Amino acid sequence: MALAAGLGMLALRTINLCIRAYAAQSFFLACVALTIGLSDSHTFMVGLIILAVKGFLIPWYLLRVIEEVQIKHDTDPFVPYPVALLVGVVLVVLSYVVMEPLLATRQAAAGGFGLALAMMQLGLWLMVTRRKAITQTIGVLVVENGVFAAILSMSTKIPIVIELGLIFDLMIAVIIMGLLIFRMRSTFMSISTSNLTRLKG
Amino acid sequence: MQFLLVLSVPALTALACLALKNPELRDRASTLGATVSLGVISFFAWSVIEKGPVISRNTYFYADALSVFMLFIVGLLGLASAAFSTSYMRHEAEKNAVSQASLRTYYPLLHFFIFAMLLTTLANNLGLMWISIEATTLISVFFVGFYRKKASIEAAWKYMILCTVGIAFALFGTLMLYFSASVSGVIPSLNWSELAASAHKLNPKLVKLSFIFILLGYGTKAGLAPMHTWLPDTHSQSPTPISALLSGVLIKCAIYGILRFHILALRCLGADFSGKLFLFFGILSLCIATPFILFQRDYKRLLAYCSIEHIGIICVGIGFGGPLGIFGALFHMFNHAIAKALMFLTGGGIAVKYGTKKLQHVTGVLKAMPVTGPLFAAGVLALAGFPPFSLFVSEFYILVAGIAGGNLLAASLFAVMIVAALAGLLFYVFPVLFGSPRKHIKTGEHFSFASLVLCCMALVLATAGFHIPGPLHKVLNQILAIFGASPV
Repeated sequence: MALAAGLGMLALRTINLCIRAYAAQSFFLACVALTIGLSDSHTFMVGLIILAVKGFLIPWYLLRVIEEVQIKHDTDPFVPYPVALLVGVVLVVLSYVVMEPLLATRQAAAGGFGLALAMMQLGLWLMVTRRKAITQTIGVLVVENGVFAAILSMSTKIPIVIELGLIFDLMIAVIIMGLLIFRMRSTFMSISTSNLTRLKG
Repeated sequence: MQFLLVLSVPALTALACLALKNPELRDRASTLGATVSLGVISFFAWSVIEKGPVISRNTYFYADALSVFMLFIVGLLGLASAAFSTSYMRHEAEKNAVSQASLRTYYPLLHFFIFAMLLTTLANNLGLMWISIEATTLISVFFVGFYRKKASIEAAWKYMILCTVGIAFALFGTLMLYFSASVSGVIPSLNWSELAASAHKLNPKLVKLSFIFILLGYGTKAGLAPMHTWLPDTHSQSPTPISALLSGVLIKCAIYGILRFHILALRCLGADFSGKLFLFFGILSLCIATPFILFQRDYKRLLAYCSIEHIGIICVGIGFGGPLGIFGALFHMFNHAIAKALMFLTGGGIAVKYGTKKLQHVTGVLKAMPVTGPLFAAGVLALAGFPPFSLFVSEFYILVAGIAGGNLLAASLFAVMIVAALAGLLFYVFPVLFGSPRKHIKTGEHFSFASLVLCCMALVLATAGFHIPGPLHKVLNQILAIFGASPV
């Protein structure tokens, strides 16, 4: 499911749909957390927080950002959509190959790490193929979702303080990116990163 | 308790700067806070060196020789930067380059930035360390976009995106290490102190994989080539006192993070694996940065590429390994931090006086600025690795370690790149220093508190080349023991 959403983003042309795909992906992760959490209050709480922050808060904020800067499409990507999708599939396979030593341990979490790396690769790929700053932000978020998949898949939990810290950092990062996009819009009259070529050498 | 004290000083200073409306008072509070902070840090560092590592009761914080070494560097540069900020930012405000409103946020954020770096060095929980390194990015991105020009927005965006993504990979590596502990039958923990004690039992394959992710992730933040592309932009666009912090200590905080994992990898896998990776990225950074040093016109970008070069030198030293290599690399971290701060801050003073960042428009600094000029000259010579300055000594240690370890190819590449960078640096800076200044530049300047701090830094660089100060030598030897190497 999470992979499908990640791959889907590579093919989706409107930014609005990309954000919704991200929300769906987060929603899925949160549901997994809540299911695991039925027997474990710690994970249940994390799941609730993920649902609130990644499933609703961040997508809502991003939708507001695109409404404000009035942008709908990420036209002419660096790589055509079908090719991007194909490379995405290759990246997913590659991630599982790299994670071979982990998979060899035959633990349930190993699959989670494979999925995590696959999502991180897809996020990166999304960032390289598109021009608009907002799509790059979504790419970062997908990478971050990948890391959360890894956290969720582990049976031994990391302290809740640390998890809260991670989510807090992520929220601040998204807010700052949003502010930078506004500022970019007002200075360049566009949020295409093709304008960002001044600094060289 | 001690941890709370060390961390509370910059936090309280930041709050005080936020609360004080009067600019005069706020500037004083900022400098005073940084001075007190350095005092508290020195005291704390001394107690750790004398009495051994300490760990907080909730195990989130831990301090050994390596942490207090970094802690001291952050504190020292924090003071230099805060002291310099007052005069520099006042000048910027007079020029209308920045508004009073953004100055009001500048000082609190400066101290929060220092706070986040101190937290990085004191964190025992590797998750907490990650959070604080990410926090340094989130705070410093404000400084990068401070001037609200097109170029600064571009730099801020690149910095934000690259560092956030890069560091996500470091978190992934951290989690994998945690997972390897649970697979290997060790009680899983994110605490460095516990992982270090049971490192030899971890699954070697997983440790290798996780180290690669950590090196790529934190390496992005450290400015290792080929992930360095954001660094020259970021360091050249931010206000000069901040550039000194970014170049002098922030990238070393990331190196510090990698070192913590390097120590774990050393204990689990032996010197071969992680050392070779360090060597590879170090040499690559040297080779990529040096050509840019040879063709650079903007002094801040020149210094930024120098930072990439010096991070390369440090990584090469760690990669060569052995007591001499590690000793040289750590000593170099200390030296470079001071030299780089000296260069940025004196360079900032010169840029204010001459009204330009371009090197070819500046001449006769020695005549025009009797205090800053000689300090700038000392900084350049030190950074270029001239004897008797201490950077020469640390680079020499690293070179000897390389030859002794039989890495002849790497050692010779290292030597060639350093000499080339030296030539590039001197070629551009000599015309800046000598000759006579243009007519409209008034000669003479004041001697301020910031000049005093800078003088002390130049003095340390000059004398440490002859004789490494006793306490510093002791700390470095204690760090060698953490690496499992014999003292030098």
